[in-house]
Amino acid sequence: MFWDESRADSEVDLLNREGFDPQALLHLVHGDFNLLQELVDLFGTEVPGMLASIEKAIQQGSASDLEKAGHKIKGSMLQLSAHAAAKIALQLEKSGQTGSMDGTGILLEKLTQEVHVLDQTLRSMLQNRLSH
Amino acid sequence: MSTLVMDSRQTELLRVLLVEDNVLDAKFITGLLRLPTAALQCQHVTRLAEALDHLEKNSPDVILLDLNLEDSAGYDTFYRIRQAAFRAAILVLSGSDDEDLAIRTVREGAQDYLVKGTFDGRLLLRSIRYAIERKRSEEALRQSQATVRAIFENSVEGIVIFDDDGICLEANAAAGALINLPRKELIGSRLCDFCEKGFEEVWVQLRASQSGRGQFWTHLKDGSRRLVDYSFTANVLPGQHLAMVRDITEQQDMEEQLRDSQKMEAVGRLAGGVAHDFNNILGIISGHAELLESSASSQVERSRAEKIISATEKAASLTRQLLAFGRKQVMTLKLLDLSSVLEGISSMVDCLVGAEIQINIQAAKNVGLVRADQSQMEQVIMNLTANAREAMPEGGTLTITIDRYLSSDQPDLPPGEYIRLSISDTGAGISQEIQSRIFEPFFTTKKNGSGLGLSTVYGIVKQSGGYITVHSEAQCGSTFSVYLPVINGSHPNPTPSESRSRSHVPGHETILLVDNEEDLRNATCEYLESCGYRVLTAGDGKEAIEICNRYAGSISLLISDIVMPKLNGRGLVDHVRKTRPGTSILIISGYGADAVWRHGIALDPSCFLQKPFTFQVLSAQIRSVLDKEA
Repeated sequence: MFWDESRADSEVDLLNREGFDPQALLHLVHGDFNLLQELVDLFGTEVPGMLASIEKAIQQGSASDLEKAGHKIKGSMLQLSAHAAAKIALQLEKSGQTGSMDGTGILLEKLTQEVHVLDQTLRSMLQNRLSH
Repeated sequence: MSTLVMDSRQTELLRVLLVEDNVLDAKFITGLLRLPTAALQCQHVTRLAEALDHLEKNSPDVILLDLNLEDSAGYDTFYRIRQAAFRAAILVLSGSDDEDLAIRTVREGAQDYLVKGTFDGRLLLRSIRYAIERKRSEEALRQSQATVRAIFENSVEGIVIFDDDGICLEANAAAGALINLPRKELIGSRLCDFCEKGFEEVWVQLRASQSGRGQFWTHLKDGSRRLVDYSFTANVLPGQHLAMVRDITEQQDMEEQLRDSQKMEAVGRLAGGVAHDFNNILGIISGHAELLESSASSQVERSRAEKIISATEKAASLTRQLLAFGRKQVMTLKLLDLSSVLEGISSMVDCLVGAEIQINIQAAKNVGLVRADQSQMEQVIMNLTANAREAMPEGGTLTITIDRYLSSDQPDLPPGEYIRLSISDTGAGISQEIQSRIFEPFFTTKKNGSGLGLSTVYGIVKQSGGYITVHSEAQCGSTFSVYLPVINGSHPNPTPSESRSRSHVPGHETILLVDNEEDLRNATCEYLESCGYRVLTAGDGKEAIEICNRYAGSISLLISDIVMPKLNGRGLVDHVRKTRPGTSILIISGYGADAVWRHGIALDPSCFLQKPFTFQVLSAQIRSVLDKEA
């Protein structure tokens, strides 16, 4: 088998981390603030749609849609080193997998809050970069 | 679809297809690949259908694949992409740390599986390059394996892989065909189960010596056996041993047949050589016996001389058979009475069949003549007789019949009159299956048979414009019938013994007699002088030329042997024809008439006389040649 599971952090490792790790994100993008700017711009246009998909799935009681939407936003949060948000997204994905919709509304509220904080943090990172 | 062209300073621009439905993730990934060291042409699609459409028209080096798309999910996404792009490396980028899925995709052909958020640009780029290299190595290995597999499956030689215990692990179709088993049945079988007893020891020796070649007999389910040639190499892989096998049964049969043919050829040459020498000796005996006869002072002495002459004639008949067997006689078609031919070789037929077999000959006289070569007809009779004898190992009755046969409406025999020669045995008979093949060259059911006897008969009969049939029933024996067209309104050519005249023909001319057999030369000289000829004698061609050059008078006839020391008959004949064109030539030889043309001497057949001959025949032949020239 070619896949070397030991060479990178696993998803579990990432999800066990707390909050958002700006340094980790800067490391991943090799300090490329242009890329970061593009990502933040896309974040503002794409993430609300992802959250809306989750809300719609919960409202319609569609577990499979919830699983897909949770999985999708989880990947993005992992890419952005937003571990707390990714952890909540994973819980939503698993709720969808198991078909248990209980508590998903609260999870969505938490996720929305984390995403809002993340958005603010990313923007302030860029703002600080500009001011320096 | 979006396209991102990155650094093209690298000599090799890698073509990347990113299949990702999340545009934020896609931006992140393409952003990571904007490294200075990257030389990529990246194209992005969001749906499986879009990806498949792209792959129909393009051949990317690597595909970065998110498994969960809007129109496909999980392993199915990977499977569809892999089917559409079997030459591209596939690197799965997933938001799930699903180890089972990761293992499954890698096992089924993905080159790597990365979890989102765990890689930066450098790691991703390195993974891409490694994935491409792995894919290329896999492709090279796949092609190599395909080549090996094609060779393995199409090889005419059997290829078998054994384990340490001689159990077949793998075999190709040729190996299965060799022992008449489907390949699948061969796998799992023990090698020694197919070999002759004692092969277990050979197997142990082969394992110990690591390699070897040899042969073994294998017994098939149908009871037959085949000779197998093998080449063995131990541990081509640890604990796996290679054997290349091929069936050489027919090759060995052919080699045996060739050896038999060569042996027969050698025996034939030996017989011909012996017959030649023996003819010379018989000539000496016969000549001196005739001299004794002519000078006999009493009836008793004359009678004894005649008995010697008669015995030499019988011996000469035997040597003619030996010469025919040695194929030293060319085919000479002449009118023959088959009954006379049979009578001439009846003593040899007796010798051939042995005492256990009773011979019954029913050869009608004056049934008609055929046009054929006498020695070939003798060979037909001898071969069919030998065949009948082989069919009766414990004795029986051999019947030879010669009669006239009228064919009117038979499928295998055109209408007409034939002389039929039938040879029957009371043996076990020939099965229907074998009857259709018995005239094929080299076909034999005998352990030591050459397979040439009946095929030779068939060839001679066809060459003579005749037909041959076989009728056989189990336990009722077999009958071979040869049909030769009757030649009407002709008389048989005289046989040599019949042409011998007892008349004494006088002469007066000068004859140069050349023969290296001194005793025969002297006796002949004495006889010819008694007839009134002047005789000059020489022991070889060179001496004869000296006489020719020295002798002032006319030489009417040169009588010369062919095979002589110093200068042979041909050299002498050429010289005489050049220096004495008026001299007639009579060649005498212990070989058959074909020896004349084999030595390159152009000669009318009437100017040849085969040894041994009686002096009366010689004197008549001399007169015939000289008078014809006159």
